[in-house]
Amino acid sequence: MRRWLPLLCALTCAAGCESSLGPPRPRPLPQPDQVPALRTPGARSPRIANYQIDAKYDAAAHRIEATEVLTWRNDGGSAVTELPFHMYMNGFKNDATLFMTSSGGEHRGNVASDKAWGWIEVTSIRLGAQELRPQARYVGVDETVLQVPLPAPVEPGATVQLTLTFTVQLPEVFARTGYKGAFTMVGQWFPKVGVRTGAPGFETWQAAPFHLNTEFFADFGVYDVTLTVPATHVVAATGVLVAAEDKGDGTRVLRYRAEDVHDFAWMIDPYMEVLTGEAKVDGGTVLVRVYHRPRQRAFARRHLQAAIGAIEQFSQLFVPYPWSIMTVVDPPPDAGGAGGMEYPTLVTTAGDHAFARDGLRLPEYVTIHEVGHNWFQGILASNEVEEAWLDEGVNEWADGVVMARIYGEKRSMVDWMGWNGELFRLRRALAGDLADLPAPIATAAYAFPNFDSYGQTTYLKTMLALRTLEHQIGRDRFAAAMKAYATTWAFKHPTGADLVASLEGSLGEDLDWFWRPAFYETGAADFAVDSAACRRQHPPRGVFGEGSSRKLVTVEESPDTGTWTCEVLVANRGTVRVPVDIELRFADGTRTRETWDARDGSRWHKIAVSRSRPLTEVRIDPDGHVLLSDDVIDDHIRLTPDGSASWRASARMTFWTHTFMQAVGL
Amino acid sequence: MSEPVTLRRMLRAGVRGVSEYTGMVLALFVVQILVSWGAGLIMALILMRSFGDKPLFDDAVDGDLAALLEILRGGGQVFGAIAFVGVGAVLTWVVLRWFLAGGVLAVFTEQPRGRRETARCFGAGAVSYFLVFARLGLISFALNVPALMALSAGLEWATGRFEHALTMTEVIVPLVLGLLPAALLHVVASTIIDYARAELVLRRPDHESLGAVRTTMRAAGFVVRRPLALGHVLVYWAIFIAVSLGFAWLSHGHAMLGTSGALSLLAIREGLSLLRSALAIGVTAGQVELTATRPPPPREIVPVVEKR
Repeated sequence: MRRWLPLLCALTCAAGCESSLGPPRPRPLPQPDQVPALRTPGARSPRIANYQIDAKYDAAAHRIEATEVLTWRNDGGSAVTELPFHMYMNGFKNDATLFMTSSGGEHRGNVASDKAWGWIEVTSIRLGAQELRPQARYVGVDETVLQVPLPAPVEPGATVQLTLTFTVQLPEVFARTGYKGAFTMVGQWFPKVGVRTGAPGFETWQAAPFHLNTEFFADFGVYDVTLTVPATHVVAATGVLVAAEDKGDGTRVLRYRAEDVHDFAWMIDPYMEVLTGEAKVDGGTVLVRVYHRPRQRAFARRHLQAAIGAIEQFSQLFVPYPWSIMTVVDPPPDAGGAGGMEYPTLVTTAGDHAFARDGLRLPEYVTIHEVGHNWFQGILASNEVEEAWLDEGVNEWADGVVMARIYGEKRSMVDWMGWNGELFRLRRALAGDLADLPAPIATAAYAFPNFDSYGQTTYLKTMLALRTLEHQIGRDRFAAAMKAYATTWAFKHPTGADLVASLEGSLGEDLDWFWRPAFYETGAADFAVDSAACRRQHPPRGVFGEGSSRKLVTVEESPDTGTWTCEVLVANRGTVRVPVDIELRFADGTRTRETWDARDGSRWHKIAVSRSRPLTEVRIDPDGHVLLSDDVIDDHIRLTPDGSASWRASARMTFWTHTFMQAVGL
Repeated sequence: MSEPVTLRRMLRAGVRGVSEYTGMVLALFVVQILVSWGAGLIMALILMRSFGDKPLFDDAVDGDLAALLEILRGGGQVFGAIAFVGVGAVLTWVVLRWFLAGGVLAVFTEQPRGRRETARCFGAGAVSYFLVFARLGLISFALNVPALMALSAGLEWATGRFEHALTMTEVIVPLVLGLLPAALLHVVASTIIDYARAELVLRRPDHESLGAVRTTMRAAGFVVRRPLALGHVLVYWAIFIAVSLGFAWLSHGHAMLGTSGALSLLAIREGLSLLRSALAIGVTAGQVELTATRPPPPREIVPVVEKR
């Protein structure tokens, strides 16, 4: 038995063990990127919050010692007396934080370690020579927002520069950031100043505590980040590498620069390989890199192709990708908590699994989604806390459009072993009833009753609502309107109201009829063919007249004319009323269509037709335009049942039943 | 002294049994067909009644995954009923085989000549041993409890291993390793029952008091002492799995459309099923061959009390 043990271990490990990668070895010093941070020069944003960070990473302790110089400009119309800083890492400090209590220590199926907590401690906040740390205090329910009172107000247009010294202890990864084995993803790691929003002169700070459902909101700026890391490790970071130097003591210093971004994240790992490609954008190119472990090479190729396709398509559909590099990090499979997250110019992907065969496009979908976030939140920096649908939901819709353009409409998500699946329809089919969602789309992320309803509403319902609106408006017109919105609001902080106003302005029409029920109310459309029947037509039969002129008209005297009269009743039991096509198919193969415009508030619609042949099928929404719809199974009926598909399905089931019987044996 | 029983001899006995009693093999296959097709007919009627007027179901059957998910979501109870029918068919077969196995074993034991004599022998055996085989069936449930426990533990172990699998090898290896103990325990349990049945048919005519429990215990001892018994069954399972996987591999990517395609597919599927039925009957013939070499159970001596 003993001699079989190594073989068994090898088989079960199957090249998946980190130990098989060997001890970390010194890696070649990376060459600085020979490209600027922005593909074409010139500031794109107001550059309100600019960071200069010098960080040293201790790989053994998973700890970062850093100094941050924040240069912040008051872009508002009122003076500022204090600055709130996000201390996101304190969300993982203990199980009493808002993040932990709202998540129960679980995020997208990944569970927090109860031994490896994460925290951030700011030891010094200096304004010139003045130490402000003693006056700074945590506000809110936990320690994820640190309010720093300023000794003197920062007047409109004025700039303030603070120097913060801090230590970050990374948690074991479970919600975007942290380490797993030798792999480390460093996100939401530095004190990040909040955003002031509101009418000029009446601005207020947006700096909410870190909650399970909420992501991030920050001002654009320039990031100049220096990382001191072990020479054995590979680093991927936001922006471009502008300098690299070996210190000769087993560490190296890497300096990154990113412009017109609102966050900075990095990955460090001793075993990563890089796959590179180029996306063609606006007459130029964007360098695309996928960082992956050796055993994920096959998936890395898929991620690379998906990322290139996404950058090119998003650039065509909205605004051209402005930065020179896009980095995709493919975390090791056991570090799933780090997967599927977006940062400017750097995203983490997910979906690598043996079951994700070629044609089952979950890995591609995750990459396209995260890359897409570089537009919806990266460039159009909406408030993810208050209006998460504006980036997640709008991005989901855009992902569907992009995947259809890359992989084809019908097989955008699945093209495998004879099965096909389009992303929008698949997502709807996998979801529960939209009418059951307890809150409207336009709900603040933290105000949803639970994570599931937040996800279903913010991601899925928004995606389906926008797809429905796109079909109502017409694809080309809607695409042009969305492009105008992206162009107008690039490198700003658009709100939901801004999106609606922009769309209405571009389209020249009032969208309230759709927007209000779809985005500000609960529910969806729910069509059904209520009844459909045909009868032969004939002149009147029966008794006519009175007295002596009374006459009986019999069947023989009033034969059928050969024409059929058909009556169809369709209903919308839902709350969203949209114009919808209804297709009638007749026994002679002909079809007719008519549009039921339910914007008048009607809940049902009756169609009466006369034909030489009877009606065979009624189909509501034959082109599948109304995605924001529940219970589609009764949207398409045939009047005479057809069992051919049932026989085919049962033949398959019969074979399996027979196989099970034979497996039971004689 | 007779020639010792080897695996080759058992396999030869299987081939001989199947070739000599093709009518019986076909009859058994027809019974399986009747049960499975009967279930299939009920399934088709349920589907037709539920989805015959829903063209979305046609799309689902034709490979539209979104349509399939919508159908599954909207017709959960229908598919519950379909599953119930399938399980019902398998359970029906479980009961039927208590009857049929007696007939098959009787035929291989007595080796009748001619169709009529074979039918008589089959019928007599089937009727004679039904009740005791039913008792053996209940015992086999108990014997399979360790296999079920191993299955549960093995699946949990395997799913934990392939949670992060990147290749199919990384899925299949832990799955096979995880399922292997349960499969082996099941094979041991079913082999014990097989040999208990064979002994009952071989020895009961001159050992009237031979019961299900005692025979099972003797069979367990025999299976433990003679690894050949297990090896023979493992060969059967290896061939069963190989032909099934071979069919799956060959049929993969060959869409059989239209009436001729449907008929071809039906013919291929039923051909595969017939082959597997013949294999099972051949295994039984081999088991009878081996059982015949076992020493008979000790006779119970009943003291005769003389009346004064």
